[in-house]
Amino acid sequence: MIPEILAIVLATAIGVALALLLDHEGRGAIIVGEGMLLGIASCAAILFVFAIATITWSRSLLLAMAVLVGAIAWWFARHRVGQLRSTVHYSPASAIFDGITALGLLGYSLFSTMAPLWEFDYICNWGLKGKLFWEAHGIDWSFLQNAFHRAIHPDYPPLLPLSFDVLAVVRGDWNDRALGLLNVVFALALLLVVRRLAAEETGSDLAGAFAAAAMLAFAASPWIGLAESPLVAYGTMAILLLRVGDSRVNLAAVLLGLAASAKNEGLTLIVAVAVALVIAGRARLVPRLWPAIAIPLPWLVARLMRDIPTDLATGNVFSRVLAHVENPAPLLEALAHYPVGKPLYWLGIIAAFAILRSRLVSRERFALSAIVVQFAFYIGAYLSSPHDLDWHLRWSWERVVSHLTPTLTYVVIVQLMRAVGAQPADREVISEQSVSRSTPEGGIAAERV
Amino acid sequence: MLRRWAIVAAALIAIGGFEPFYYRVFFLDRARTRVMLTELPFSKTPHLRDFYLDVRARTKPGDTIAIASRYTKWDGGYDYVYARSLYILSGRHILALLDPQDRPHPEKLAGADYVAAYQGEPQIPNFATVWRGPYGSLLRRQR
Repeated sequence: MIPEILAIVLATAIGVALALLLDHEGRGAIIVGEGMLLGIASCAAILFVFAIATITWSRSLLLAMAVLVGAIAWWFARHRVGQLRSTVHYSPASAIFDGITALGLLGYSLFSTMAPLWEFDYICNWGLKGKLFWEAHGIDWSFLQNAFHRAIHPDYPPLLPLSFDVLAVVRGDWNDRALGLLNVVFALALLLVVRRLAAEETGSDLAGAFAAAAMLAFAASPWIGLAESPLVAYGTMAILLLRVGDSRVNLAAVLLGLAASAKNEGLTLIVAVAVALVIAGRARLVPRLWPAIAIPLPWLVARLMRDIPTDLATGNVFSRVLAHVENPAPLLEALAHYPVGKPLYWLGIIAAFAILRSRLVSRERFALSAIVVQFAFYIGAYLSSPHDLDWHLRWSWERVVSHLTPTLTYVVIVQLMRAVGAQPADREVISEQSVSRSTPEGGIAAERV
Repeated sequence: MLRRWAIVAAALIAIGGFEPFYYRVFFLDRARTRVMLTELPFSKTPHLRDFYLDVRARTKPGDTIAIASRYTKWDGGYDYVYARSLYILSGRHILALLDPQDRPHPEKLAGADYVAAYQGEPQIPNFATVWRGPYGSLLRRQR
């Protein structure tokens, strides 16, 4: 896996420069975490541009372009290198929680790279496209236009398949065991940001370490090789950064655009964030989210121009919604039937809301509104589903809930830590100022047919 | 009091969200788990993965391969066999000889260079068996 690891290191080096340019407040681990996500996306974007320009992919071309982008970014970011130094005082007591997180992440990386990726949606969708693009040395438009099997979803955005291709192009071969490393990168990036951000917000390094440990299972998606992992990483990071200040709106918008390039749910997340900003009294920031639209736009246009079909919008969407609203029993039964995670976790969340209801509602209005609006979009998607609802929920419900639980967990944990007595940080959350198949083993047992 | 309850809630969230598998993975028999995970997507059809790997080794990118199996219902097995061919046989054009409404499409054979027959060796006009393995056979169009 050495070529893949080198590719990730190179991508991170590029991404860190971009993070320094986009995030003027971030320090230490935050910049590194942001850099990992931006770097992978930058390399994938280079392949996308090559594909659109009908330039055949090659290792030398990708590396040359990546080095060029990195060199330019570092030239402009050269005065900000000091931001990479951490300014948080490290508490020795944090080592316990950091150890738990690091060990869990190591176990996750063992799991993610243990075998050729095995998920059905990897084999028939994300991994299949990545492999086809790799073999075609570009995007195989003809395959997408003529996709016969419903699981292929040719309309789904290409960030994850292209990220697989970055690793394959650097290796010069398709190694579907090493591709699980991307899951680890996405999880690590989010945890680095969570670790540092929570410490900054609470003024307690121990609280930061606890938050990262509590978030491990939510950042480390059990669906290896599926787009849940990048969607959670990009989407959650965008909300968390936007949540703490207006100054990071540019970076948050870029991350939102990348979430929308990872999975279609990312498109609704842009709307959810915009609505949440309005609800939180920060409507002035909404126009500044334009990069979130601009980044996925080339794919949406290409998809339209090449007549690539999409299934949720097929047929009479309105009549399907109407039928499901008139007879909600199948949806409600399915919602009640399929699990949303571990009961003890939800008991903790409910307890937190019972204890800190007013604090959570007033201080976390933005993040909680984004979660609620995005959740409403998911319900809307089920209402308009052309598939059998029981089947649709069975294979997606836990996964879509997993898109929202990382943000929910973070905001609840941070507010609980504040209530526990961690010193408030200099910077408050901006809203204060302005106004089961959730386990890897469960997933393996439930492998679909 | 608030502080105490906040600790309880935080502990519930952390313990409830804890994923023991990521720690237990260190003690797994990794070789065995690797084999299990590799076969997992093909577990309902024994040796299907091996069969497709054999077919891949005997065909080249750009070839058109029709997938034949003893399953005559889309949801009764054919979908399973067909969907899993796409990844392993990537680079080839894969044809389904059955549609989701269970209608057979023998006319698609006209566009096929090969027929990959899982667990069988069908007799198809203009095609001859070029390879026979323990889990199926590969038929090639006769020129």
